[in-house]
Amino acid sequence: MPRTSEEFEEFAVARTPQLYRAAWLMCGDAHRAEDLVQDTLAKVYVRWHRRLGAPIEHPVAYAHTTLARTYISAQRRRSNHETPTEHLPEASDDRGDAATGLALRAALDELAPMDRAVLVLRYLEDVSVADTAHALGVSPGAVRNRTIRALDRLRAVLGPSLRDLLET
Amino acid sequence: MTQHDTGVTELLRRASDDLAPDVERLVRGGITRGRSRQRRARIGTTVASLAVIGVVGALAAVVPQGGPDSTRDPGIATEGATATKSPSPPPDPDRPPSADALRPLVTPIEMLARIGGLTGASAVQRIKVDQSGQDQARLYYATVDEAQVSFSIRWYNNPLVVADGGQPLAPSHICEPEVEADCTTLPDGSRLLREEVRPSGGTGVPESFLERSLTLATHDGWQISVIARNTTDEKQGEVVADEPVLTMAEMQALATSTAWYA
Repeated sequence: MPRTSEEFEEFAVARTPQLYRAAWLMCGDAHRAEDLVQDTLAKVYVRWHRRLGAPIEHPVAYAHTTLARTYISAQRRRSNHETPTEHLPEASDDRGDAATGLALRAALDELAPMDRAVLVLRYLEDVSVADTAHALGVSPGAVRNRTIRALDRLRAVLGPSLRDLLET
Repeated sequence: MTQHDTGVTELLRRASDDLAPDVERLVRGGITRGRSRQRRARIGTTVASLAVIGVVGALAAVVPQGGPDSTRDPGIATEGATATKSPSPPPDPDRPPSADALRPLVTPIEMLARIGGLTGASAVQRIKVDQSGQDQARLYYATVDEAQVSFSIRWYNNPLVVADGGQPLAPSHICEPEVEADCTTLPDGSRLLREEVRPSGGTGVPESFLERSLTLATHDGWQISVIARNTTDEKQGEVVADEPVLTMAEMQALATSTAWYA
């Protein structure tokens, strides 16, 4: 039995702040994060209302997996038609902890898209290695390797300020 | 979770704690896009059903029901019947292609000339050509009616993907027909994603900057992306047309052309 539109809206309103947070950490850009969240909600909406097939068993996990896959898929498509351009300044009026935000943003920008997605799923969403691997279509070993690589990179970029950032 | 792990989690949370998305607008946008996908999926299903009915009807009209051919040599007739009874299975878009299947490309210069010829562009620029042989990526910008059309091609299932811990990719990695209305499988097993006109997006890019895009994952391992814009550049430049300068049909013809292969 498909779920109703009201239930979807309730679910979407409840989950959107967390989806947006994950999307922003993956994209590092407010506009792309909004686009990513809306695409994700659209895909979940279609699946939610499908007449055939079982309803989504774990909507929260499904939404976050969809978000990660949509992000990776978009990155794959973009990878060839985007040329590096000077980084445009991010509008900062929607971010409060400016020092942490800027430092982390700079560090995340150093990471490959897949590595960012791994960090967000594993550390923000607390998703297991196996589930992260499933969501991103890579092996669990690759998730572990990417995690180590991404954390090393964060340490290298943030340096001693990592500890300071956590203590302030 | 180790102390360091907790630290990373805390860092990610603190860096994004004060984000204040417009939840209502995002949900409304998501639902609108979802409904639009649903509608397109229904239309796509109906069109596909009608196409099947049309093909079956046309075949029924063309295939002789007896007559002069029925007096043919029985041996030849039998061979023909056997051949039609065992058609080859349809290509599977979920099966990663082997490296041997990859069609070689024409030279970068030939490709540039063919892009110009097929689009009628006033100019074509070569932006990137991978010389390492890893993913063989090429990117070109064509100027069509003063607006930019981007054409790119790369080997999506290249050795780097697997070496980096990824699973071998199949044409279906581009999109899922169940959730993306304009995601279709072509008869040769290639997967096609069409994305209709939308704002180009990105920080500081005006809403009047529009793009229409199409991505094709060919059955043998190439990913071709075509993006038509209504502007002279992706993020800067000026608006020169009301709509992106190529139609979806033109873009599909471009992506599925055999002109790119040697």
